[in-house]
Amino acid sequence: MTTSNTTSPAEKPTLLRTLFLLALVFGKFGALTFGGGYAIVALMEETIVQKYKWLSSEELLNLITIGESTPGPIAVNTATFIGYRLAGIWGSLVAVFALVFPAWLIIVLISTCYLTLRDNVWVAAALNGIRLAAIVLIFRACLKMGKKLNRTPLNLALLILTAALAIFTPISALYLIVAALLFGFVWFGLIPRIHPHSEGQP
Amino acid sequence: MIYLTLFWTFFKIGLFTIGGGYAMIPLIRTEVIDSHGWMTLDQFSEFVGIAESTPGPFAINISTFCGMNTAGLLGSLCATTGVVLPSLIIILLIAKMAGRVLNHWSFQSALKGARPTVVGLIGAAAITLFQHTLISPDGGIQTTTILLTTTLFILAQTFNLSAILLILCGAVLGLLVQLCQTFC
Repeated sequence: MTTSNTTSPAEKPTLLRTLFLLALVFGKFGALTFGGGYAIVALMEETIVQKYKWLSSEELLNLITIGESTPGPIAVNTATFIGYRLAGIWGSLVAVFALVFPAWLIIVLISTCYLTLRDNVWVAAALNGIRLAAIVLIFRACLKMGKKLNRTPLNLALLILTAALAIFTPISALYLIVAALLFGFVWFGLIPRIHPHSEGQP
Repeated sequence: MIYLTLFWTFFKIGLFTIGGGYAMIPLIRTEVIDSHGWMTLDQFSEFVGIAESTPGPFAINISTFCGMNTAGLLGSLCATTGVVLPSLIIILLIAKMAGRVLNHWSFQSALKGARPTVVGLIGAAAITLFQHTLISPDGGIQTTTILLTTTLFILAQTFNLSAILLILCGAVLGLLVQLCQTFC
């Protein structure tokens, strides 16, 4: 991936104008998209690729892959990267701030209402139902992500082992993830490189 | 100092969120609920529901909510900044190095190990939260919970409901149950 300036040479926008546009576009993503990272990605295709032509569709796809395979929320990762490509560090700061600020503001307002209203009988009843719906959502996210995994016995074993450890022991999810990263590094990375012909690891 | 602890906790959560917003859920459960007791499991499921039905990235919404609930406005600022900062730093480093690190075998192989783990952790979070709502304060099992959750799951799967619609269905069902209890 090159880091050269990708804005069209025909009209060279000033830095300030680019920053303003970035704030506008990512502010819209932060304030108007429902349903998390992937919904934002779909909107990015429409705005960033088709309307402003800041990136080609292939570049955006590359970016999303990077956003998925690096730690952190996908929307934030993509905003940082696009901001940086268009206007350097300031660009990424402006894009991330614009993305986060509306979402933050909305939640600050809503949580204030939540804290004052949650003891009301009817609000509490609705929240009871919302809680169950949220559990279903989490479970569905697990199913959806599980479908994308390669169906190997090792993956299944890792999945079940971590789930069991998380349910039955007080070990923090953080350590389990670190352990899994180390395991992946050794098993998929080091071992095939030390014994290239044994185990038959892909 | 609560603000610093909030910031640091969410910084760690942001750093280990691999594969999108839902990967945060098991991390928040262990780091925020188990180790600090900043909220109850019930509140946490409510936050997830509300965060999913408000605009903006889920990760930002849930962090703001947790921060706000724990230590007010300044708390929400600390939590949200904390969760965003690792991504910002990591992506800037990657952008500067033109993405070479990403294709390195060590990075790719480590991720390969983390992917099934994250799925397992999210599944475990769903099970723990469900288990918690299943058992009523007096120790019995709540049949209405099983009934409602199954209904919601079947609704979600058959009609492929969006998150907001599913949350809305949940709220309506919750209200109906209350209505029955009040007037029947």
